[in-house]
Order: sequence, then C-alpha cells, then structure tokens
Amino acid sequence: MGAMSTAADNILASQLAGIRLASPLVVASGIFGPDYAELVPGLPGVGAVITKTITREPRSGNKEPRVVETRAGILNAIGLQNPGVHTFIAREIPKYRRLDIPVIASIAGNTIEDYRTCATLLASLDEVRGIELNVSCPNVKNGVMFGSDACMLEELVGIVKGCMGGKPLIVKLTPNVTDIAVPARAAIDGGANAISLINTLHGMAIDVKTQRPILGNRVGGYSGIGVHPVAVYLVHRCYTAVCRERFIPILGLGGVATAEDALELLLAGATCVGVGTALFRTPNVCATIAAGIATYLRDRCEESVTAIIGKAAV
Amino acid sequence: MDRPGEQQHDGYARELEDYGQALGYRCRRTAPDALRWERPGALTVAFTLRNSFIDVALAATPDTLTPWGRLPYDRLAHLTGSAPPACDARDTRCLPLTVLGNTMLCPGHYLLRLQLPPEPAFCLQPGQFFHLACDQPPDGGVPLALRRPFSIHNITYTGFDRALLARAGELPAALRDQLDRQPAEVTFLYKVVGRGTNLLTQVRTGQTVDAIGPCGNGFAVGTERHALLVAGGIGAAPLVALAELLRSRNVAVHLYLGALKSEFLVPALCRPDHTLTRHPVPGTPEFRRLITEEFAEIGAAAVHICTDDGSEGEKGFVTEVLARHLTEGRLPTDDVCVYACGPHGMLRATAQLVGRHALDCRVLLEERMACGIGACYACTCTTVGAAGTEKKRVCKDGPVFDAKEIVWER
Ligand SMILES: Cc1cc2nc3c(=O)[nH]c(=O)nc-3n(C[C@H](O)[C@H](O)[C@H](O)COP(=O)(O)OP(=O)(O)OC[C@H]3O[C@@H](n4cnc5c(N)ncnc54)[C@H](O)[C@@H]3O)c2cc1C
Ligand SMILES: Cc1cc2nc3c(=O)[nH]c(=O)nc-3n(C[C@H](O)[C@H](O)[C@H](O)COP(=O)(O)O)c2cc1C
Ligand code: FES
Repeated sequence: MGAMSTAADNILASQLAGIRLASPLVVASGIFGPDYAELVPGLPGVGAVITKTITREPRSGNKEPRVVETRAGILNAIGLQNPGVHTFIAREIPKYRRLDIPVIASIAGNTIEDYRTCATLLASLDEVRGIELNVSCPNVKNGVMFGSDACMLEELVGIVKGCMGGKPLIVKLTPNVTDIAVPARAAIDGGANAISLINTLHGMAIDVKTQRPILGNRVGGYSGIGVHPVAVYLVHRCYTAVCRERFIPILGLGGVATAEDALELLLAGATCVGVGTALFRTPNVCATIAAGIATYLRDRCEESVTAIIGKAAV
Repeated sequence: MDRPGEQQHDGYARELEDYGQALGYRCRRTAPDALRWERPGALTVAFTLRNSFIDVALAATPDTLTPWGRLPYDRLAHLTGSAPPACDARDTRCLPLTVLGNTMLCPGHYLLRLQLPPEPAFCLQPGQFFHLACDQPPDGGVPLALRRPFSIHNITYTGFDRALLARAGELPAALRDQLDRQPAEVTFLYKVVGRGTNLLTQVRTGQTVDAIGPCGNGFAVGTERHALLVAGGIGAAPLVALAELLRSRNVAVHLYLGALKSEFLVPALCRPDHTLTRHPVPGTPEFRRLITEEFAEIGAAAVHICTDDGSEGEKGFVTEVLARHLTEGRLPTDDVCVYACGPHGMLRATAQLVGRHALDCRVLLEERMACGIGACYACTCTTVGAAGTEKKRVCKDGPVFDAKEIVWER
C-alpha cells in the first residue's frame, strides 16, 4: 500500500483467508484492471484487487447499452465480456505484476468443467494469490443456477477447491435468493475459505419516451449506493447464521463510497470490504475510506481494524 | 536526465546545424547554447538547449519569438529518420482541473475551459476525450455515480498564436512531428441533454472539475492531401481541434457542418481566444460570413452549412449535401480522408456514402461509459476484421474507428 503512512498500515493490516493485506479494502471484480494504477499511482488504501471475471472461452458479452445510471447507483449488463482464460493469462496477468499488491482472480463458467479449467490454470500462477468464484452473475444464462442451488454449489466448490494447489478459494454469493445463509452454508461445506457478498441485485430501467428497457440486455445488475443497506443486512445475516461459528471470513461489498459505509460492513461481520461502483466516480476513493477507518479506530483507541469485525452482530 | 556538459551541448547544437543546413536553412549561433535556422520568407526557428530537452520557438519576424514546443534530446536522432510522431504516449491521469470559464454560447450549448498543469505536460490528440465528474456535491452529498465523456474541442498551447499556427505547415515535417507541445488549456463544447450535463452548467470559474484523461486513441492523421470533415450537431466539437491539426500538416479541409437550426451553429464559432461579443445574429449574412472566416482561419478551404429547417445554409441533412457534392464531382477523390462525428444515424449514412465512393473514413463513436479507461467493457461497439466480429471498447480502442470496421447495428 504505497503512499499510506506506516502508522496507518499497522492499524489497517488485515487478512483474508490467509492472504495478508495492508488494508481491508479490496477493488471489486469487473471495475478496474491493471491500468487502474496509472490513474491512482501507488493505489493508496487498496489492500488487494480482484480481476474481472474470466471464463474458459472468450465471451463477447451483451448488446449495448450495457450501463445506465439510476438515481442511487447504476445498472450494468456487461455479460462477462472477456478474452478467455488463455489470452487473459498471456496478456493481462503480466500487467498485474506492476501493482505490487495481492491479486485475486475471479472466474465463472457454464459447466463445472469450465470452472475447473480456469481455476487450475489461474491458481498455478505466482501472480494469483487466490480465486474468487463468481456463481452469481445474473446476466448470463444459467449464471444464477450455481449460486442459488445449494447442492450444485457445494459440489462445484468442492471440485474447484481441489484444483487450487492450496490457495484460498473465495465464493461470491448472489443476493438474489430467499435466504443467503443457505448458499453460504453450502459454499462453506464445499470447502470455501471465504465468502464474498454481495454481487449485483437484479434491476431494470425503462426509457419512458421510447417505452423500452434501456439496457441492451433489458435486465441488469444493480450496484452503487442504493444497494448498501441490502449488503449490510446480508453480511450480517451470513455472519450471524453461518460464518461466525464456522470461522469463515466475509468480504463484504455493495454500495461502499465512504468510510462510514465500510465501517458498517465491518461491524456487520465483514473482515474485508470491497469497493466497486464508487471507483468509477472517484478512482482514489479507497485512500479516503482507509484514512477515515484509521481515524475512527484511533478515536476509539482500537489497535487494529480486526477488533471491530462483527461488533454490531448481536 | 543529467545536465549535459558544455561539450555535449556543443555536439547537439552542431547536429541541429547540420540538419538545418541540409534543409536549406542558414544556421546561426546566437549564444553558446542557442541557435537559429533562418531562410528568407520562411519562419525562423530558434533552439535553446536546456537540461533534458531543447526549447523550440518560432518567429514570423526576427524579434518576436513565440515558444512552440520541446524536443527531448533522445529524439534528435529521429529528425533525420522517418520515425513516427512521438506524441502517442497515452498517459491517462485523474486530476482536479481548474475551471477557467463555463459559459453559455446559445440555448443549451456551453463552453467549458479547463486549465492544464504545466508539469508533467499532457500529450493530447484531437479525437481524444476526458471523462469528467460533472457535479460538485456539497460535503456529504451524494455525487453522480458515473462520469460523463466529452471530446477535446480545442487545445491551447503555451505560446499559442493563431497566425503562426496557420504557417506551421512550413516547418520540416520531422521536426514538427517530434516536438512536444505544452498544452495550457483544454476546452469542451457540450450540449445539455440530461442530469449530468445540467449539473455541469452549474460549475463556476475557479472551481475544479475532476477529470480523467486524455482517454482513447484520437484521430490518426494520415498522409492525405484533402480532408472532408463531416459534423452533425454537437459532433462539431472534436472537429475543431482536428481542423487545426490538419492545417498544421498542410491538409486542405472541406467542412460539412449540419445543425438542427441556425442558432445551434453558434458553438461552431467559438474558440478559446474568441470574444463572444463578436457573435452576430444567426440567420444573417454576417453570421454566415463569420463562420466561413473562422473556419478558414483554422484551415478550412471550404465550409458547407446545412440545417434541418433551412434557417441557415442548405436545407437538409449534411450527408445529403455531401452525397450530392461527391456525385457531382465537386470534391477531390484522390488522397482524401473523411472524418465524421455526430449522431449514430449520420455516421452510418456517412459510412455507407463513403463506402460507395471508396474513400477512407474515420468516425468518432459515442457509447455509454463507466470506467473510461478500458477496464469494464461497458462501452463496446461491434467491429469486423480479419478474425471475424469483435466487440471493441469505444473508450480505449476508440473512440475513433475506421468506418469500414464498424458493424452498424442500431
Ligand atoms: C467519446 C465521447 C465524446 C463525447 N463528446 C461530447 C462533446 O464533445 N460534447 C457533448 O455535448 N457531448 C459529448 N458526448 C456525449 C456526452 O457524453 C453525453 O451527452 C453525456 O454523457 C450526457 O450526460 P447526461 O447525464 O446529461 O445525460 P443523460 O441522458 O441523463 O445520461 C444518462 C447516462 O447516459 C450516458 N449518455 C447519454 N448520452 C450519451 C452519449 N451521447 N454518449 C455517451 N453516453 C451518453 C450518460 O453519460 C449517463 O451515464 C460524447 C460522448 C462520448 C462517448
Ligand atoms: C460494471 C460492473 C461490472 C461488474 N463485473 C463483475 C464481474 O465481472 N464479476 C463479478 O463477480 N462481479 C462484477 N460486478 C459486481 C461488483 O464486483 C460488486 O459485487 C457489485 O457492484 C456491488 O458492489 P458496489 O456497489 O460497490 O459496486 C460488476 C459490477 C459493475 C458495476
Ligand atoms: S467505459 Fe469501461 S471499458 Fe470503456
């Protein structure tokens, strides 16, 4: 964590399933790639970055428009466009070396075999410190299935866990389920080392002039400040119902834009906090959030950010 | 870079002398670390050797030197070779830029002027854009979630001098291409269409606007002798900087300017050094004369104006006028490149038209964006190449594309 002072480093030092982080703040999947460091030299306040979701074969994604701003956040329907795992490893992974902070690779697939291939290839790389399993992307046909069918999820996680070469596996859950504790338990039973949530909520926007949906894909995923209370609730539910007793850390994300937002997630039970949509508007927002968390901790004479995890989970 | 010793300076100075002489200049040392190229009737070029670069200034008369650009020492060798233009470094930054002005030009159209920091200097190309945070949320207020992209409308360089610019085409091409010019100010011409652009009108002089830029590829100006610039509505914005660039490369510019009605042509008149009080009433002959004059000054050989309602120039779409001119043989067809910017339908029509006439054509596309730097794949367009169709990113692979490459879906 380049430019932050060392005093702040100590107080913010965290760990996510064995990956040591200088700050609990993680760049969420699909937001920025390695070029991000060009915009924000040194990435102050950032503890780790998660890559956009990678699939086995290249994907060309959805019809445009793919993003639309709503009153309290944005909708996106990118459709997991990516060059495929082989090209990604050849062209993108080397660029991540420059960042000098832990990189976690996000993967998705339509079959268990897809996941297995991606996980095996990516986990074998020195540059990749862990894998995040995206079982919750609502934009792709069948994408929701792995995340919302507990039996299938447990099987998938078990198989992927087996090809990680001992590296940590994070399972990212979709909020679009009746009870988040069910897939959380399934993922942990399958061997997940951490749970991350939330991915985007299903959403839609309609142009009243043309009377047509705005997104090319018609429906999309809702993220940004509007989803924050949902994220706080779901992190709290996961923590109290499953993760606390199983000692499984949570990467909490959804609508974080300020230190207070991040603190809420930590207090609800998250070990680390992801930042996504807010980075589009403010690429260096993690520096401000990290500084705000550090001040909060010092004001309360806490020695470490880990001391407040789950404090509101009563 | 270390300070070059006197001996080294002398070596660089002699290299410049040899090169100038080969081009037919008389070379004169004016100080141990300064020299000039002089030739009757031509612009005088003055070089001053500094720490890691050479300051280059131009003069139309011997006593009025205007700073023009910098030549890093490591590019001296390129002067004699055929190296590509040096200014293609894409150093996209995220910075708060000070607002020098934000004024309404005509109903719904504004000119935003932002100051650029001197060091490190930006390297800007016409056709590139900046991704701007359009609002100034009060403390604790909720900001817009997304930035808004706006094309570079005009670039003002340190030592900007329009009379000199008009003659920059006289400079030896290799020297011109290897110079780093120091942009001091960048302007944006924007039309108010929704929430973001409405908030942008509230920004005041002296405040800052957070800007990510420069983004995208910009126009690759080729070796063509004639350029047809086709602009629809606010699409005129990026073509002003392009016209100036073409002018500095001795390319003849034919401008086709289309607007909904005459008053929306006003923005086409504006330049950073333009005083708005000179704007005559749209629809008058004086207005027409001014538009033609203004564009002539930045290099347009001919200006054709059309409005949808016929309130100025010809009635109809700009592409219809262009089509007629092409069919009637009123335009050169050899060594021509078409540059188009405007609404999607206009671009599609232009692409089809130039396809029929087998002309090269570059289009500036617009698409909704999130990151603006090529990471999120929000802003894609469908392209076709040797390897089949591919979704490319407007913000990174574009916004300028070869018209042949685009699959016009919508
Ligand atoms: C490369 C590029 C260069 C541009 N240059 C200029 C320029 O020089 N002058 C100018 O007036 N406009 C320009 N535009 C269009 C400008 O970005 C939009 O008018 C602006 O984003 C509208 O924002 P809004 O909130 O006022 O409108 P709203 O309609 O409320 O915007 C809603 C959302 O859609 C997006 N959006 C709407 N229209 C467009 C559009 N045409 N292109 C991309 N995104 C859009 C907005 O960014 C926002 O996220 C350019 C667009 C691109 C992609
Ligand atoms: C444009 C965009 C692209 C995204 N792409 C991915 C992705 O590829 N994989 C994934 O797991 N999540 C993706 N997400 C979801 C985010 O990682 C995050 O879970 C969600 O946006 C909530 O956090 P936020 O409100 O801070 O953005 C994407 C979100 C956005 C806005
Ligand atoms: S806006 Fe993110 S890739 Fe273009």
